[in-house]
Amino acid sequence: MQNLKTGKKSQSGLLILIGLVTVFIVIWVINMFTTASQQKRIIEILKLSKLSKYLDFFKGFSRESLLLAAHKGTQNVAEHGGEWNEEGESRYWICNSDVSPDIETVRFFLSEATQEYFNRYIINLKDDELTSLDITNATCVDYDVDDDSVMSGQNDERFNVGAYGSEINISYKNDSVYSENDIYEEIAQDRFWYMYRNFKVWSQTTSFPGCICGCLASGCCCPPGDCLTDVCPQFKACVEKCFQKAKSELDSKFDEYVKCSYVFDCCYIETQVCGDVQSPCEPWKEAPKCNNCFKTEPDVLCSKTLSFLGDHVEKNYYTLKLEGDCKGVCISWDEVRAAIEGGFYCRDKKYLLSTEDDRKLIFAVNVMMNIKGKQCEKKVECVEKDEGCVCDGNPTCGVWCYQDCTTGDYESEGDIAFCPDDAWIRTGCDPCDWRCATQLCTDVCESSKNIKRKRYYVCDQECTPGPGPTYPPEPPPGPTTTVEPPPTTSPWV
Amino acid sequence: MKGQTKEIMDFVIVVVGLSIMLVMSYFLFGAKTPQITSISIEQHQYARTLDTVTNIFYTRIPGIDKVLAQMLGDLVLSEDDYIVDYGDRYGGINVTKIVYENFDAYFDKNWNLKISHIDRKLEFGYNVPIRKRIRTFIIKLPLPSFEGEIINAEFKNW
Repeated sequence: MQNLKTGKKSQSGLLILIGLVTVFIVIWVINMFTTASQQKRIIEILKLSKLSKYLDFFKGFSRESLLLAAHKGTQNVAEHGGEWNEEGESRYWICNSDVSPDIETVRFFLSEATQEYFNRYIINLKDDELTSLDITNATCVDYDVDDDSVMSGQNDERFNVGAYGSEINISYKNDSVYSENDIYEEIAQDRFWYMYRNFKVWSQTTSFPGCICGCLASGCCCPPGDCLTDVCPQFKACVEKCFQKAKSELDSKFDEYVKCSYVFDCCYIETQVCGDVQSPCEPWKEAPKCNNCFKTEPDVLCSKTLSFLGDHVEKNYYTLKLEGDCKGVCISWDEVRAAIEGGFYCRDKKYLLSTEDDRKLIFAVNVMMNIKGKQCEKKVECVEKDEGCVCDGNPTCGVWCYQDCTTGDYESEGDIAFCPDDAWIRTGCDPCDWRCATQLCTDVCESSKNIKRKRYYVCDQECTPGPGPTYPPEPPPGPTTTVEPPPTTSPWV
Repeated sequence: MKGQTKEIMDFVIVVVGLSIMLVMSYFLFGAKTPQITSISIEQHQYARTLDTVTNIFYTRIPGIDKVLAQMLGDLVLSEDDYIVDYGDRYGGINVTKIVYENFDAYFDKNWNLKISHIDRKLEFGYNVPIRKRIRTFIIKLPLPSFEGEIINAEFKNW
């Protein structure tokens, strides 16, 4: 009762209640902080997860950009035959002979072009993107191909490209995610290396240089000038045929999806009657026109030795003088010089690339021939006319370059057998000691002192291997012509 | 009797006070959970949208061996609104159909994609509802271009 009177019981209830409320408030405050902290953590996690996803998105964007850059790069490089200069001029693959770029060279120019196109996307993304995206350019783009994979056809339709050196950093308030942006992407349905491979094989095996050399013969006596006009129609027609033939060779290397064509866009010809060039076809280094041979390798020159030329280019002109008759030969020729430029183009219709405008892959190579040669050689025997022993008939371009017609008073033996140009072989130390390697052996030597002093041997038996037949002894030197028929005992008779 | 009444009153006050606190604590402490759940769900939905959009750069369409981003870029530059020519091997491919198949698989009919490029406007998907929560994502789409052109494609789902 005392407690009731003093109200202690009610005070304790109130105190309990206050205590409970206090505990509740404390718990509530703690919970509030805990919840807020948890919430913050969850939001942080979500935010970072979101940033990571953005990272994946921009990496995906980079992959797509690399794919588009590779398509543009291969299309541009193919269109210029592997490389181009500041004037937009394309590379030459034939400059008298094969000068096609190797795979490493093409890889280099492809990588350069692709890297440039790829970085344009990256730069535009940086400019365009309003969020805190920091992305750096790629410092290297590499085409993962080599000689074996390309030439075996492994990269005909797909190949891998890597872009390295780029970095991405995405930040939002105080959070950020960073990653390297290295990409290694497979480029499919792009037949750049297929085209390169077949052009490379074609360039090494085409009949084009030899064919153009053969056309020099049809350029004899032509006036100098632009042979795309009617200056020298027979030469132009011949060159057109060579282009056509080379195009057919190119066509045969590709499947049905590829169609090739050619352009013959520069032609210059000039001739020099009785010029001093000795071989039928050799490089003409001083061509005034159509003489471009753009390619980057400075050490590979257009003037390298033509592989299709014969080894034996030296030839002696000789006069055969026989007893009592008008004998001798008259020779005429024309030195023809020609410069030709053109291009071969092949379009692949199997796949269309992801590029703007014309989406076909067009592979184009330029070709150039600057050549000269002794052509239209005409050789006739002298004939006896009223005016004496003379050259008869029409010489090439109206001029006899060499004539030696005299009535000889020498003895003769046997018939003369002429060697084909490519059948002469040289034996021993005597500069005149040329011997025919074919069935009939003809040995015509000339005195080193006087070209008109001739000595000849004619034989009608096969050449023997080894040291060869014995020559008759040299006659003593004298003021007159020494023309010795072979002795009757000689196997040459 | 009076003391007992007071004691009962005190007891009732304590019980009522505790009850009120329990009820309050349920709302005060428990109410946070749905809020966090809601944020998580929303973030999850957004992440799903982001994943789907990102996949257009990664996932090659079977049979064509191209990613959707590449085909969309080609479609934007083509003259046709549906078909893109991919050469003699594949011929014309209906890219619009592939876009629908791709996004329908993820979002049923709850998506919309708008692409604008110069005077060209392409729209795929379905009408955007007014009274629903819409998740929007701007896709940076690289176009086949010498200059490295990029366009914005607006993707929405709900």
